[in-house]
Amino acid sequence: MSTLAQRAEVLKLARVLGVPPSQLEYLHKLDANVIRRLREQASAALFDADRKLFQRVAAATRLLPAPLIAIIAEKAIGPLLCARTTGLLPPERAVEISKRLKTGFLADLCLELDPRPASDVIAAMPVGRVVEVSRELARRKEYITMARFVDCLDDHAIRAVMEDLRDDEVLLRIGFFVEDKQRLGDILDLLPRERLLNIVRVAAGGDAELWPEALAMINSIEEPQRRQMANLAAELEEAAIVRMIESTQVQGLWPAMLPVVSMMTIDSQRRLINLPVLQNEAVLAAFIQAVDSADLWTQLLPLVALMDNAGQARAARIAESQGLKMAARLTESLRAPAKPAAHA
Amino acid sequence: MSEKQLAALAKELGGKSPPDLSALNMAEIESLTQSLRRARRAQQEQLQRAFESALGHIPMLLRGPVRKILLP
Repeated sequence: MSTLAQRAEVLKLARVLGVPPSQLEYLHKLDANVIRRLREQASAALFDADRKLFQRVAAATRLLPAPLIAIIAEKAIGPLLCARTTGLLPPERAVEISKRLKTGFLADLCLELDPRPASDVIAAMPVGRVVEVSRELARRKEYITMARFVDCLDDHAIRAVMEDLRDDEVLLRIGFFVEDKQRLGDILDLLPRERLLNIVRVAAGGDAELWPEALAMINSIEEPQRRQMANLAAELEEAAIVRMIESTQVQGLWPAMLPVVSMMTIDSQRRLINLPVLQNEAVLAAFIQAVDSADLWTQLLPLVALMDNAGQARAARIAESQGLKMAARLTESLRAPAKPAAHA
Repeated sequence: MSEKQLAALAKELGGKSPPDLSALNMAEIESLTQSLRRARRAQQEQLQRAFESALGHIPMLLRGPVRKILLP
């Protein structure tokens, strides 16, 4: 099964080549980084092939007033060619023209634009215009495109966009596609705590795709933000945690969930491990098996020591049924003092 | 994957060696090369059409100088 990163890269390459993504289905065999490299080469080759013509378009814009250029851009040049010319325009001129372009056209242009060569233009865009175009892209569910602009926009613009986009599921889905995980961490820092809490709630309670991707995202960010997200997850109301654990169980996501649990404070871990949903035999068995498979005994088996007596007995019984070696490891951990990896 | 096919792909990528595509078969490499070739042709055709169409929107007085820049 292809990953979200592979699908995103295939879609971006399909846009560069002007073909439907289904025509590039065979590329899902490649690693996302390989597809990305291929896309970067294709994009550069297409630009270089007609560099002189794009430079002529940029030169011609100097002779004409901005309102006329905007009309010509929309009626004659089109979003694709405009996108490929954007990086050749002086930023202040590009901004002047963009003010005259319809928001829908600018959104079309963003779909075709490679943000990096045009980063000066993007950075110079007035925040209000950025917010309008973001709103339109979000309406079209163009989350992959939105994520590409994150690197080029400053915190002020990002904050304004996030304040405007009130739907936390939209923010989460954009977050999945942000390539620079350091930048993603910076952006999480810009969000108020309540909003972050709701993002975790939405991730845990959403459709089948949301939770695995949210877990992958949490596991990919820097440790301070990862720890923060883990503890926010533990703070959720019980019904939301139950949904989170059920999604983890049904989708076989314990190997991805355990590192998140290991980041929680001892109090959070104690609350989690003693929830009735984790005392369910099947859930606890899957949890214990995942700990064993991922060799996370030292980090996570001390959780068993945080269980109440009935929970410990149940865990011991399950471990015993899994074989002598696992039972021995469990017994050993129960003798050891509780030292989870996370600290308050 | 033959050397000839990889060379054809590299040519469409502006002379640069592609990343490791060993997971793709010959037909897939060929298809990718064709997609790149078609994209390049489509871009050139679009540019020509756009230049002609753009001139129609420009006032007579400026049409000459702009034509000189776009279509020298």
